[in-house]
Amino acid sequence: MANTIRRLKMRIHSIDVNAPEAEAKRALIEDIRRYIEVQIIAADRLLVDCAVQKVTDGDVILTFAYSHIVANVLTKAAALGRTFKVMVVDCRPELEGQRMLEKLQASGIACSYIHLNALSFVVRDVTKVFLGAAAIMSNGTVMGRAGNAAVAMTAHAHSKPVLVCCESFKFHERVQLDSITHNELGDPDALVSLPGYPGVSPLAGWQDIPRLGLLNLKYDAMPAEYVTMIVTEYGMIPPTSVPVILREQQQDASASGGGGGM
Amino acid sequence: MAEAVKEKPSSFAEVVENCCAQLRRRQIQGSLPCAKRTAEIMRALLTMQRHPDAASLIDDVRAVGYKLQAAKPVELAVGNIVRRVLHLIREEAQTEKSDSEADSNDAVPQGKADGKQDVMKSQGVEHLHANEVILTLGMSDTTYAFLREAARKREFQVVVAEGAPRYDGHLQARKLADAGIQVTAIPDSAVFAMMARANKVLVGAHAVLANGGAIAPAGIHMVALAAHKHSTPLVVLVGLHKLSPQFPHDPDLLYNDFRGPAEVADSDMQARGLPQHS
Repeated sequence: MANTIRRLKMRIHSIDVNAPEAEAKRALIEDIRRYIEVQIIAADRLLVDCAVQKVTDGDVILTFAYSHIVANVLTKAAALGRTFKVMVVDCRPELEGQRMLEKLQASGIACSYIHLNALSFVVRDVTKVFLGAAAIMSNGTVMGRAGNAAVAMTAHAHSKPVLVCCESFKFHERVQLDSITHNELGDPDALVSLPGYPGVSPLAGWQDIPRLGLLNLKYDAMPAEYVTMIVTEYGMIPPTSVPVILREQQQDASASGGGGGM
Repeated sequence: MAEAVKEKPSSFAEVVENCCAQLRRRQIQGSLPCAKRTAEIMRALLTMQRHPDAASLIDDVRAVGYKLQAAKPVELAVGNIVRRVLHLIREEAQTEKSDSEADSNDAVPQGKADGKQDVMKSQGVEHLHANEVILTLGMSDTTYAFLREAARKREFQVVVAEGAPRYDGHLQARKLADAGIQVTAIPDSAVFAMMARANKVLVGAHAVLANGGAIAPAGIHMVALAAHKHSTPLVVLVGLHKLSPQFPHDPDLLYNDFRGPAEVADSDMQARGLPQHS
């Protein structure tokens, strides 16, 4: 998100001061529309076409929580007639994996659903792991939904290839060493509510207990060593090539002077 | 089962069968209750039946032990207690004291519970220092006692992962907070993120195997991998009755227990997966 905001600001700065307001606004809206079209929609299409080559018949694919790009890859592969199974790993408290499960089942893909804790039991039968990302840092660290790193770590420990599907607009030149320096906190009460669980959690009323705190982290940082390949709209790159893409993007941005092509 | 010992009509075979049924139906939960129950059965075996010599006693104990272990193969504490009793019998037979067999058997269940608590009291303070962050997963009575004892002399923080779908981490967090320890409760997905902050990982286990591996509630493998990645020491706290001489040829299949899927996927989700007829 920071990338996009920064480019928008650059674009606004580069507007001619003397241009009439309505025209400037129209040009800006046109640029935003083109950004969405090029960087997001077209990029997703290219990414899906690239990643779907990696789904082969007989695969057992592991995926974590909900990633719209991974869902698109798998539904596209099913539409192309590939036969494969998907293992959806989910975790509390968002339980986004249920959304992924619904989408995959609607496409007729055979799915299994497990909680994150059961991963070490099922990972031996998995052939590939497809993960999404929220951002990728310039040292190859992948920021994803909390639990992403644990999935990649377990898959790596059992020598399963981990493919991260991520559009290039999510690449960032910052370096992050661990998950805690930059993160987002979710609602702590989400931990207390246990749908379908008989009785009330012992954590209920935690605000009144002075020594008890709840922490609901949204993201975590997956080290580059766990990532086999990153699939972008430019193709498949290793995590060490992320700074190369970033450099090219910066050169493009400065060459066009922040205008057109944003 | 004390009534069964007093009532003459109830045979020893019925006592064993009752115990096996309870184990199969998961009415006895946890390693310590299973271990205590097995020790009681062993004591009943000695008091209810006379044996001419040590060899026949050993055969009987082994036969009963196989039956009990087969009732719940995942509960290794049963086998451990039986092996302990066999060892005591062989020791006694060597020293040739025929009437002190019953005494040695009584010592088995008491000694276990007392010994464990003394160990906690003495070692808790040695292994934790001030301002440490301890990470733990789920609920373990052993870990709770250990941390509570250590908190009397040291000031530290504990991060508890909830251990879905059992959610016993919630209970552990609440109990530790009520005991005056600073606690943070996190979901299992945040374990990798929080491992960067943790100084030590303290967990309980269901059993410890001969190769040093531990069988523990689901989620422990991920905690252990994350601890290894961050070079954080991982300490497993167990009572002696959990140490097993078995090797894990394929631990996930041999020593595992499956629960109903409703805890993970509710019936609506399962229904969606069924073939749709319009």
